[in-house]
Formats: sequence, C-alpha cells, structure tokens
Amino acid sequence: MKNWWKILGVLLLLYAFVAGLLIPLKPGLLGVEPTILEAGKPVTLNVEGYNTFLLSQKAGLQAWLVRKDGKLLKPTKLDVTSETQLAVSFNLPPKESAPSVVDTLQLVLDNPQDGHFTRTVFVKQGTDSLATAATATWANEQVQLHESKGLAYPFMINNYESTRNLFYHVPMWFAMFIIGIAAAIVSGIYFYKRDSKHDLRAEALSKMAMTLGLLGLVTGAVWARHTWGEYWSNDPKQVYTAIGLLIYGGYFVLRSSFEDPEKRARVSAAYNIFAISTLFPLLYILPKFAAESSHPGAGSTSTFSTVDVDNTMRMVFYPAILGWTLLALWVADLSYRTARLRDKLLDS
Amino acid sequence: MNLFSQILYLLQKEITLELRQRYAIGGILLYVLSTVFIVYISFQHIGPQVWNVLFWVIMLFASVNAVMKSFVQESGYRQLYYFQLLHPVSILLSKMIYNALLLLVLGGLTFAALSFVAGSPVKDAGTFALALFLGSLGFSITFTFVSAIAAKADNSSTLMAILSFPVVIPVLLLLVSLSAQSIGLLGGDDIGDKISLLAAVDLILVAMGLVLFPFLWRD
Repeated sequence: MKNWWKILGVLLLLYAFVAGLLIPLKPGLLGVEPTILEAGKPVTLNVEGYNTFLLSQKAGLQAWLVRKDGKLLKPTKLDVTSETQLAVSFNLPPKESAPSVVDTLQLVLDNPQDGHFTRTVFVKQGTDSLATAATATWANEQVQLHESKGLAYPFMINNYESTRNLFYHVPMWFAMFIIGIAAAIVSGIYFYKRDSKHDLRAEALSKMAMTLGLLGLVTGAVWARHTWGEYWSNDPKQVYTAIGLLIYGGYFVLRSSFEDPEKRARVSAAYNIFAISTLFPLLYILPKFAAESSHPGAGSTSTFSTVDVDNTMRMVFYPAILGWTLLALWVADLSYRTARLRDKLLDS
Repeated sequence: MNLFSQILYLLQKEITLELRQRYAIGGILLYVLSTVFIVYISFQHIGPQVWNVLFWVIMLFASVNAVMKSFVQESGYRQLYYFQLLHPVSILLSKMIYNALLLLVLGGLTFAALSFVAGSPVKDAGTFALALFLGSLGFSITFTFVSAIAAKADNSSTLMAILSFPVVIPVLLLLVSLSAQSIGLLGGDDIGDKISLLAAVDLILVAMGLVLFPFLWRD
C-alpha cells in the first residue's frame, strides 16, 4: 500500500469532522438573573441552562449556593419550568465579611445523569439590614457531586459551541508550522543533491504552508470576532502567522523574478532557510511582550492542558493535527507532480 | 592568506571604495537628514513613545537603503575575481562588519539629528548605546545576507524590502522595547534578558548566513 498515508489523512479528518461536530457540549449555565445578590434577603434566581435536561431529570436535581470555604446553602424552593429553565429561591444569610467586600459564590446544580455545573454570582451588603432572614445559615455539609456521564466536550463560558474550532483552526496553524519546516528541510536537501526535484518539492510545500496559514488566519479571525470581539487583537500567534505569510509572499516574489531554474532554485532555497530560522527566536520573543494573550500558553492565560482542554477534546485534537498535515502533504505532492509534468512538457 | 587577513583586506577595500565614491555615503546621510526633517515638520511635537518608534523606523529604512548596494554594486567580473581568490565566508563577514560600522555611524547621526530638532528623551544612555550597537549589528547581518540574495535578481531594490522586513522583525521588536526601557517608557528589570536575547538572535542570523552563503554566491 503506497498510498496508506493519504487514506489515513482523509480518515483522520473525517473522524475530526464527525466527532468534532457531533459530540455534544456538556450541560452548563448560560446565565443567572440576578447575578448580584443582597445579603440577608430572600432571593429567587432565574437560571438558564444550555444542553440541560432539567425537566426530564427533575427527580435527582439538586441546587446549592457554595461559598469559597466550602460551606453551602440549600434552596428553599426549586421550580423547574422547562428543560433549560429553572427558578431557585434562597434565603441569604447576613454577611459575615466586611460590608465593603463583595463575596463570590458558586451556584451549583447537580444531577446524577449530567453531573454538576456551576455559575458565579456575587453578594454585596444589603441596603436594608433589618430584613434579615434570621433562620438562614451556612451549613457545613458534605455533598456528593456527580460527574457527567457519556462523551461530551467541556462547556466554556464565552466559547460555547465555538470550542469546536480547536479541531479545525488550531491544527491548521500546527500544520502550517510542520509543513514550513519540512519545506526548509527540503530546501536544505537541495543544496546537497542539486536536483530540481527538491526545489519543486520545496515550492509545493511552501504553497501549502501559505494556504494553511491563510486558512488558519481567516478561521481564527472569524472565531476571534465572536469570542474576543475583534478580528485582529495583536496576539503573538496571529503575529507569527502574519510574518509566516509575509515570508512566503517574499519567497514567491523572489522565485518569480528568475528565469534560470537552477539559479532560482539556489537563491530561493537560501532565502527559505534563512527566513524560517528567524521564526524560532520569535517564538521566544513575542510572548514576552504580550503580557495579556488570549491564546493558551502565553501571558496570563492558562495552557491547554490545565483547564481548557479535557481528554475528550484531545482525542479529536491530536488526530486533527495529523490529518491536516497529511492532507496538506497530499496536496503538495499533487502540485509537485503537476509542476514536474509542466517542466517535462516544456523541455520536450 | 588566512581568513582573518582576508577579512582585513576586504574591509580596507570597502572603506577605500566608500571614501573614493562619496556620493553613496553622502546620499545616505542626506536621506537620513531629510527624513528626520520631514518627520519633524509633520509632527511638530514628538513625545517619547513616538520618538522611540520614529527613531527605529527611520533607522530601518535608512539601513535598508545603505546596505542594499553592498552586493548589488559588485559587478559580475569582480565576483569572479573574488571567487578565485577568497573564501566566501570572509567576503560575507567583511561586508557584515563594514555595514555594521556604517549603520552605527548612521544610527549616531539619526540620533543626533532627531535629538537636535525634537530633543532627546533618552535617560539611560548606556542601554540605548548598547541597543544601537546590537541593532546595527542585527540590521547589518540581516540586510547584508538579503542583499546577497536580492543582488542575484534583476529587480533587486523591490526585493530587498519585501525579503528583509519579515526577517528583521525579531531584531526590531527587541530593539524597540530595549530602547523604550532606556527612555523609561517601559518598566521591568529584564534588560539583561533582552540584551542576551538580542545577541542570541544576531548570532543565529550570522550563523545561518555563514552556512548558506557558500551555496548562494557562486554563479
């Protein structure tokens, strides 16, 4: 089987598309109204869920307000109105911290089927301290939280369904880097073999690296518009991609300015290697300047492995990188072969 | 002749040539002065942050113009002559050293001219001088190598800009932030970090240039 890697690439991408689009998100809470509560007063929270089955799983459903120190408050009333909507009432005890401090509480919902999910609410000093509900206190109680059963991607505030972009946009960027390095290596091989085959191959790979970079930039920009609010936010990884595109732009202009194929091959190979080698120092430099990067792994953002990506996502993410890389190699191979045929036709 | 004396001879030749045809260096000096003046009359008041960016942008464009000629001006016959006599490494190194010296002078002149019309916001002169030195070195290494590439093509002046700008970005980023620190725009105690990073980038670039040039230069 000579073409096993092409089949593998297509299968991996099919898997990435099917699994990436069909596996649901874990249930989560879209919003809680009101989010700022007054201490010492009864309150009813209107909760809106996403992918939740509150009505069907009403039997095991439980809700608490949980403080930072782990003490919790049970609701006085739990009223499920639909699969995604619920009203839950609490008698908030008076504040124990200083009046000026705003406490952070977690509203936790739990049921045996879908596991637990949370949303943050804040508590400030009530305006009218006389209305204190004397009966309510924080209980020091241990409860058993359930974990979600079945295959699902994590629910992330702001990202929601666009979390799935991890399987399409991020691997394109990885693949661009891999293909770009491969192109530089092939350029290096050209110097030792002096065979125009390697030059054409390097050109085909560079074309694919540029295509992947463009696709990655566009998919990333569309995604960023929805989640970060801007198409372009001067993020290190956006800058690498932009510089990568500039390098390949220069590479193709350089190639087109030579008539003699041997000279073109030699000069463009030298530029390709020199230019790519400047991307590596940049990997260390740029994140230093971007104290606040929205991409994972830079600045104050937590890295991939810690919170954002769980094993379910990794199960699709890594195959997707390999899939995009193999697909790009296949396209590069085709474009290399057409270039070879064109050369042969012109020679004969 | 060993490598070192080859480099010395070539350096001597570069300087003699430069002094003999004064139009080239005179043109570049005039280029810097007129750019500074244009910038000054368009901005009127130049704050420290703008000053910092303007300085390096003027340096960038002046350097590209100054270094561009280093391989373009050499005729094919003279290349053939060098090819028989000298090691390629000594040719590239001598040009890099010569251009670094030229850019250092150019940087000093830009600094003097910009400070004369707009005042100098530099507080830590040592750091700024070091940034200027490492910057001249980095610009010279990058642009000399790219000029060797661009000289092989016909439309070398366009190529020079589009090929060298993406490559010089790492150096430029470090320079702008290093000199921002010397002006006091940027806090932090990582000056030593940045200097060693800049030196490392210069080193990588010169190493890549030296490895690739022997393949590149002979036609």
